[in-house]
Amino acid sequence: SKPGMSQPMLTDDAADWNLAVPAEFAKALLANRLRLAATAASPSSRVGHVTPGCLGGAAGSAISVLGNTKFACGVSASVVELSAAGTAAAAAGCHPLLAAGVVLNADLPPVCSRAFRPGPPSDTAQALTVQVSDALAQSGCLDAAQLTVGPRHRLQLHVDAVCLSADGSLPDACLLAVSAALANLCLPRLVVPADAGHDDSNSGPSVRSTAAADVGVRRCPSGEKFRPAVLRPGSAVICTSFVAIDNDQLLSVPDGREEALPGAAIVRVFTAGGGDLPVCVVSVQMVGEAASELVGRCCREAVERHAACLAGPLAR
Amino acid sequence: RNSQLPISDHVMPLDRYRNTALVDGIDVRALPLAGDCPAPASEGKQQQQQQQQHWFQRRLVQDTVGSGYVEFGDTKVLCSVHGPMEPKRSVLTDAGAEQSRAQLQVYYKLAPFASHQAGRVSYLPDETERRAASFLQDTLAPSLRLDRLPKSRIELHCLVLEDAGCCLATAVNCACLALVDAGLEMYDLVTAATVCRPVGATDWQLEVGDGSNSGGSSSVTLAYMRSLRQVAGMLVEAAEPLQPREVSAACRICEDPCKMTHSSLRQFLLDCLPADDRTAKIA
Repeated sequence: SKPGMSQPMLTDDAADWNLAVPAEFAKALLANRLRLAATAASPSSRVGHVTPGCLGGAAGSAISVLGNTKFACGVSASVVELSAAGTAAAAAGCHPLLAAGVVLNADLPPVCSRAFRPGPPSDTAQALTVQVSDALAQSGCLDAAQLTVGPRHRLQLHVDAVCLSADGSLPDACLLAVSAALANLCLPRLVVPADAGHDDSNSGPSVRSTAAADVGVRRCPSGEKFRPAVLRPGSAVICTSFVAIDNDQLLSVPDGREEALPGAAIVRVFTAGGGDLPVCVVSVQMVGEAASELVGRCCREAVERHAACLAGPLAR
Repeated sequence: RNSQLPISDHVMPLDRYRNTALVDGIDVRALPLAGDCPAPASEGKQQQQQQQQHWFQRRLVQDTVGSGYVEFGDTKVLCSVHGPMEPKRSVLTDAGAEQSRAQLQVYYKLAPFASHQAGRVSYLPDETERRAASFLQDTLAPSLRLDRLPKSRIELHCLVLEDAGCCLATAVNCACLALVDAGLEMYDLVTAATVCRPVGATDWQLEVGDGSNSGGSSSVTLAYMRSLRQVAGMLVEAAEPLQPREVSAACRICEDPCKMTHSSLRQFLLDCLPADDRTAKIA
């Protein structure tokens, strides 16, 4: 195959070489502008693609495809009634995303890979949830004021990202789907009747009531819809993963085999911004050791890819 | 906790490994309309009279032996197959039977955002999902040549991305596609269809995947092997006992859609073959 083009077909000798010394094989491919992953070498072109609004059971949904990694994200909304005391008690000591009314879970079910078993979420799934939650909370792109419904009620969003196929760069694909699903959110218009009663006495978060009449919020009878700009217009939170080999070569948005290369360091750069917000690096997470200049290069390429994602799959 | 305030009779089971809401809320779809007016009659979709088509896709999941994806209307199901792998040891099973044929284990799960009804689906499996998994296992096991894979176990994982009706039948079709994609020998393709009878109606209607006629008082799901002319499985769900003739009538209605799905699936699998191999017919 031609250099810089799609995944090469491995001969038997090449497959044996890949099995014996995978890091050397990857470096030899990179020297000829080839990758094990079936996409081009430049990071800005590995933006993947997103299909928004494809799942009718959710208020906002999207499916992201990044190489062979696929994520489906659905957003559901519920109305909660919080007293001022309950709000303060709930916000103390809990994750900022939860305090803002967004409950996010990333799930890696057994259907996406042999590595995950049925039952409670694996360590990988829990770590992915924490990574994505932290990135969203620190990004500054979330506008919690959009979730307010009247003076005493608030929308609570359940964001569920389910992996359909796991092949490396899980946070990248997950955040792509989450950003697109939040941008795609469409809810029925809600009204708060003027005579909606509210009991201020000790109605903290420990009280659970699912009777619809207790909430006091109604749907607009005309069936009108509205789109809360939970993510600030034109903005997104993106993750770009890199694999650093020998502090010299960088593989952007790696697949599962490239992430598992021995002796390689994984660098994940979370970027946020767009629209009126400047694009900036929110956080850098590293597994293994990498030189600081290499990390700087990762950040620069991540910012370029962020702009490409906003112009491409996340364009509104 | 104020004991004077009402305590909900529906408490979500505690999930210690995931983020949970600080306060339980009411799904926006469950909120009543303002002005105490009833929901308009045209709020649901119009019933589709014409036969809906299946859309098949395979090899969507990278790290599996075989996978399949089926869309029927708005219903979307993804299945993947793992194995053959080492069997699970059980003191209750006969050692000889355990080793002479492969064990088929089916897991069935709805995504949290899959339901078109108000409310999210819990991450923890419930009775409906366990019953569906059991039906899939009982239906697909007889169609597989499990005797060709002794001392092994095959896992089939089924994930429903969107349930807009006819979900179980679509899962059977998708599971069959995934098993074929995994290269497992089968006696025949297993296809399924569901008929339902809405509350107050006397005739059975074919359930479609657009949510227009799902959730009736009774439903019959039939899994059928067309070439062998055998019923692979049948699941009857009814609020009250059904007469045998009613169940027979439902099965007769299911037969034709099963045959049409069988033809569609067979043609899709033939089209997936390389051009040189298309002369070989799938049995």
